[in-house]
Amino acid sequence: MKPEVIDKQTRCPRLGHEIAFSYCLKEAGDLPCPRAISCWAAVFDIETFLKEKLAPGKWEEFINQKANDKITTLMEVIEKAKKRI
Amino acid sequence: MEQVKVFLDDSEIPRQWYNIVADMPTPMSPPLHPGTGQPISPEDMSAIFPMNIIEQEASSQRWIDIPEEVLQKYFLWRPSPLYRARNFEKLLNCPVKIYYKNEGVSPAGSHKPNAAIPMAYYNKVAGTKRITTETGAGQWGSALSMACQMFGLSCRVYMVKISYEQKPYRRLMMNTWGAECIPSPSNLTQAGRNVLAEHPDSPGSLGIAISEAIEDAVTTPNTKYALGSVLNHVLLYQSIIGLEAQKQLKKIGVYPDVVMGCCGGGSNFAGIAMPFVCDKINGKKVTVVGAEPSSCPTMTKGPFAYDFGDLAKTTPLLPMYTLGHDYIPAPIHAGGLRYHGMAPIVSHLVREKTIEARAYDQLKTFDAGVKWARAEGFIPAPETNHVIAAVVDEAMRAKEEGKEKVILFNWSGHGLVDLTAYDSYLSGKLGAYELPDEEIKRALNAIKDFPKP
Repeated sequence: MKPEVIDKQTRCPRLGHEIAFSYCLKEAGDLPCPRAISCWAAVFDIETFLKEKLAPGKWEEFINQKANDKITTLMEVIEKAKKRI
Repeated sequence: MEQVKVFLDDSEIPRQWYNIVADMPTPMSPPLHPGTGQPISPEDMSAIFPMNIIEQEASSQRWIDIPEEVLQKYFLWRPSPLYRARNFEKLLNCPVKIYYKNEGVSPAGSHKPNAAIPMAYYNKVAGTKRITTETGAGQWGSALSMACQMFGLSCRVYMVKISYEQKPYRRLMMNTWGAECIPSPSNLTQAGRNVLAEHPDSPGSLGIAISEAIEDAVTTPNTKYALGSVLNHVLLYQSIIGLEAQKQLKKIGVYPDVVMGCCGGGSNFAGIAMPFVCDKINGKKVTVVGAEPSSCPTMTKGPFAYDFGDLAKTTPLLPMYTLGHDYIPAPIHAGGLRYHGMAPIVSHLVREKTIEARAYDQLKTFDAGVKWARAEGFIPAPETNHVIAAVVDEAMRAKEEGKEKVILFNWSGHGLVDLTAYDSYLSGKLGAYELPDEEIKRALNAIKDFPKP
């Protein structure tokens, strides 16, 4: 396979630059980015791919994870940070 | 001679920001604390924001004075010029007049300093010595770095590690303006250390970077946090764009039929749009459109609802547009894939049908951006390409309808630090393709440690 094909990218609307698929798979630590399916669905059958490759528990965890709004995230992170003090 | 630019003298700059909250057709639902079900209090936010900014976040006062110290910094590039895109008009050959506010003339190259400067100023007044934030590609981080330097504040930016490595130029801009730019996850915070302990090679994420920036602010004396989008006070500060545009258009006796901006978190769109939304609420006939990426349609597809941040109900409830079931591929029906990134004010106005949203895929936006650059010279930021695609779309509609239209849009920033994105587009790296076996193998390697059936 030609390198230019392997290096296909998509523009990440969160980061504001181009990224490879491998980043999307671990954006959320041990889970793919919550937006991975919506960003890559037009490119290939990512849903089937993830269903096959993730353990059933992880798949459920992935599809149920929340991509919080900013204020929600801020409040949540403030509370966590305070607990670490 | 055909006039291209409309300027305002420094003395003509608007002296007040406009707060759309005062004129909402229906009142906005406040964000609720999930624990109590009550609206979030100023105290809830005081760990990270100074009280003068919190007051503006909660304000329903229509006009808020712009401090002289802020105006003096704005004068470095404001009032920004209003352009007429005559070359692009000729290229499109449609019955439209296209005007745009060039926000790329700011020192940081985008609209972001409009908010960064007052944030730094109000923090300075409140006694803050140091500000933290997070950034992806660095547009916000660089703007805040510059603003902090202007008011003698220290600034630390947690930049997502993959962005830190791939986007060196804005990192260098931050350093040049005297800020610390730290690749996230880092060893400087417990949040970062926790991630590194589990994933030593973590490329980072915005979520991790936010955690680090907030932990830093919460645990360090005289330190606060700043956010460059979404929140009400950010949209307030950006209103300077639309207020200037109104004055400039009045000078030449023009009023737009359509006002457009690109929508990420909503700040640059709101900046150009809200003063015209005020006109619309008061009876003026104007269409207001936000353009967003089709890969994450936050406004165009999502239902509007209160939503818990997590299933344990430990995070605030906030009414936002969410990415709904109708967008997600049919077999998936989970709330977890929804996206909540849009400003509540913008979400509210979409629900009220005061403004409308349109989505454009990345290939269409880059196609529009390249056409723009070849006609008008200025290379747009990739985000700005979304609104240019919307302008093209609107021009074509005008042609089909046989109507003459005046379009005003916000050219939110230049793309001179984003040329790798253009390289990806021009060399065919973006767009639909069959995922090759090698990439699948590489992807599988990324999740090789995940539990298997």
